[in-house]
Amino acid sequence: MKKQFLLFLRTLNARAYVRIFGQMREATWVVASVLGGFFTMATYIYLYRTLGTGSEFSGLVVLGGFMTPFFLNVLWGVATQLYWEKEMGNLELMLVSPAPLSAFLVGLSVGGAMHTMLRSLAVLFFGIAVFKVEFTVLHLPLALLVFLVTLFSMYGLGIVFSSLFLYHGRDAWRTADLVMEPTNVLSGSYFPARFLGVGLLGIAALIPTTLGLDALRQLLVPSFTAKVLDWRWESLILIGLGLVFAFIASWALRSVEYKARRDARLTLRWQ
Amino acid sequence: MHTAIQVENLTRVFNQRGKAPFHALRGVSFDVSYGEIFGLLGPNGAGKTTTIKIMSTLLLPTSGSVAVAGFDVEKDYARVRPLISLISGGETSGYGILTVEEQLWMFSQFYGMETPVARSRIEEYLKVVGMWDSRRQQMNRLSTGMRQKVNLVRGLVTDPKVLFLDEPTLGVDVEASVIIRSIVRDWVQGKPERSVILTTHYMAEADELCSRVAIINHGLILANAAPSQLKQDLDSRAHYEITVDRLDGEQLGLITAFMGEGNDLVLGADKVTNSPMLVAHLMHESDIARLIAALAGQGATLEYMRKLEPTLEDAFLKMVGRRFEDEEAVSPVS
Amino acid sequence: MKGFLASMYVGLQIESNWTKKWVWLLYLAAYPIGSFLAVIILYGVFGQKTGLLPYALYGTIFYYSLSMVFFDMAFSVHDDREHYQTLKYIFLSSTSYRTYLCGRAATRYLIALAGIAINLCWLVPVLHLPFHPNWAYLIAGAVLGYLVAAGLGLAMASVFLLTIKLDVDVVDALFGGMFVLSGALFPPTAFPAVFARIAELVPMSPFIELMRRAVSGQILTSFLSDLSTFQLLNRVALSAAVLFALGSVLVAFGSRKAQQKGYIDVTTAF
Repeated sequence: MKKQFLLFLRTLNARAYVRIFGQMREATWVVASVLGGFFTMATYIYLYRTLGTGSEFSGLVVLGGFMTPFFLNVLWGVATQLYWEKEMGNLELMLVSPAPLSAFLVGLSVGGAMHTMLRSLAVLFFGIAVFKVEFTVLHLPLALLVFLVTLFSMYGLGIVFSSLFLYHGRDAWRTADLVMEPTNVLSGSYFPARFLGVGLLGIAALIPTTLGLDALRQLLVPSFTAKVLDWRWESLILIGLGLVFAFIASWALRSVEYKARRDARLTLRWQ
Repeated sequence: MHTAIQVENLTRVFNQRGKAPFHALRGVSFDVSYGEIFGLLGPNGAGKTTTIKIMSTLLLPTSGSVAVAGFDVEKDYARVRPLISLISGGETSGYGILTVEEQLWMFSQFYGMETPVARSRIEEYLKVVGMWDSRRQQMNRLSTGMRQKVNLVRGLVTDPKVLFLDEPTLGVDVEASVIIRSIVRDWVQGKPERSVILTTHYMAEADELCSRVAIINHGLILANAAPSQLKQDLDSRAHYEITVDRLDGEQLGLITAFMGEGNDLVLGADKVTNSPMLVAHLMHESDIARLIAALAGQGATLEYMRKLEPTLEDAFLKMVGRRFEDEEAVSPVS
Repeated sequence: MKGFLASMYVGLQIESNWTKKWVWLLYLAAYPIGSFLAVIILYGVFGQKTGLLPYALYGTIFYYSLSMVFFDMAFSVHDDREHYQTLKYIFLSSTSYRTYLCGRAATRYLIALAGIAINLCWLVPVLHLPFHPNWAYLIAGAVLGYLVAAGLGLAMASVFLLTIKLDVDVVDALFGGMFVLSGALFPPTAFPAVFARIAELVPMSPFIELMRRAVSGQILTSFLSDLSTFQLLNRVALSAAVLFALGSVLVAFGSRKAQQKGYIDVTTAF
């Protein structure tokens, strides 16, 4: 048991290392991500100015811009990763090793989250420095806690998706490409999720960013009133979602690995 | 326990959309002992890679069983994986952005190795393959040969019991191939409980390394024996090439009659000197003495003589019916 | 021409052969929704009084059509070199690399336009969008727009040819920046004066405004309203000629330099 736990931790650490230190060597991603995040944020801040909404919307947009990179990282960096590992020829070596797939994915998530943090912090910085957005720091520790809970839930969902990508390859890739923007919009990255209405909100709440962002906005933007639920309830729901995703992910990875071994899809590239 | 691998009546069928199912393996059986380098030879689509993938837990068999170090690859795959390593030729695995050292450390962690142990083994093997000085180079800047040496180190660092080598010297230059072969041979002799399964396109490589080879074609094992045995089985007669200063057809007839039935003599000319050249296929090796005496009796002076040994490729050709270069079929997983 | 058509076919296969034909048709129709969903929600909920929904919606979907060309060209270099490892074979073929890129991107553009057409069939009646198409302007604009985007795409492709480490997100960032400045989503009058002026100079701005007018039959805001539709067309034509010529020169230069540097078949396994 201890041996298995150590194997899990070592694999997690090694895979996270690639994400954090490996990618640091390619400087262009920093420029790309920071500029990308900044432009998206600028787009929506100016849009709200055009629409004549209150100034608190700038705060909402900056927080949305802060969370969006994590959402994208979950979708493209975690969910699709096993597919890419297969395309690169790494998956068979990962599977031949004794380490569980979940360890690779958790490592990837930890590394990806730390890596994404830079872009998110840059968005936050530009939001505050350029657009003079104001936040309250009164509930900062609580906000950090809510943020971590949201990440737990989001990356859990990413690991669930990764098993689908492993089996379905390009189909899943295309589907992710298709739903990326609508999902990001529905999760309320650019506006308070409450305006989606009950029906859409029910669906959007399954995306952890929706409730996570809503809770963060309650804690950090003083003038924010259009909440969905109280942030405490939202945090509890996020923990619940995270646990459910973790359970599904663990089952799905085992099941999909078995199916992929049976149907010869573990090493079939360019499918 | 002396059996590293036991394969019994293994079959694998690939269902293909809109096409008839492809039978990649049709009842393959063999076993591999510890201390052995076992070769799997066959044309593309013969079933080599499918067999390796099943043995290395990447693919499930349709029927039959495979045990690696006593564990079933289908049910006990989690117990098999810590004991094996897989190295494929021409692979570009890993992350180009990592250095050689980091890449090897990363893979060692996937086997749960303690970092100091991993680092010391990485140093040891990198020195063996002559790449210690390149340890801080990024993977994407290495040549094919260097990358393959790193792959070999990756496979050895975790000290597996069974090492699967799928075309390990594919696309690698002669010098690097020699190094890789030498390391594999030394490695398997380094500890009693080690074995290697090798697939290769290079007959000389299999001949040099393998204690036994199985020739596989269309999913069936056609032969399974030591390379020397396979060559011997090809033809039990002894073959010689003899160049003399003079010999004509009439003299050849007399010598053939003297040698008796079962001994064939073919007269030609040496391509360089144009001297008469005799190719002799003799029933017994000792008949060579009688042949030389008969040639002397006809007044022919011996200029040059050599014994012709059958090659593994001859054995392969006889069984499969074509050379590697003539391969056509492609398996869905190859 | 043969090479261009063959490249278009390759583009079509890459886009469509991953699934059944009917699933792909649904995908084709659903894909553009991601580009304008936020516009509908934001203008529908917060901007009803502004009357800017047609402006933003048409602007966004036509910007989306250009982005498909731009992204396709830029990513093709990366994808063909790293993923499919076929870049070297394309260079060895008798078709020029520019023709190949243009062919692939043309398919992507046509697919995007088809997706837009399908979506307009329901967007126009449901959202009561002004729809009085001027087909001549629409077709001319579509062709010239392709050349504008292709020019920028070729320029970006040349950058990718000359670098092996450039993060593909750079393309996202650049196009994101031009999206803000082009006035696709809101009139650039919201910007500080300097940026509003820059917005008029962004090569996509006149194209998008031309397409808005060609579809709606109206001038929807004051942005570029001092130009007649014909003048807009001329400006788009000029942009197309200059950018396509520039892109062609750059991609030819990039190809030659990449061959000299040995970057045609480099893979980073990254």
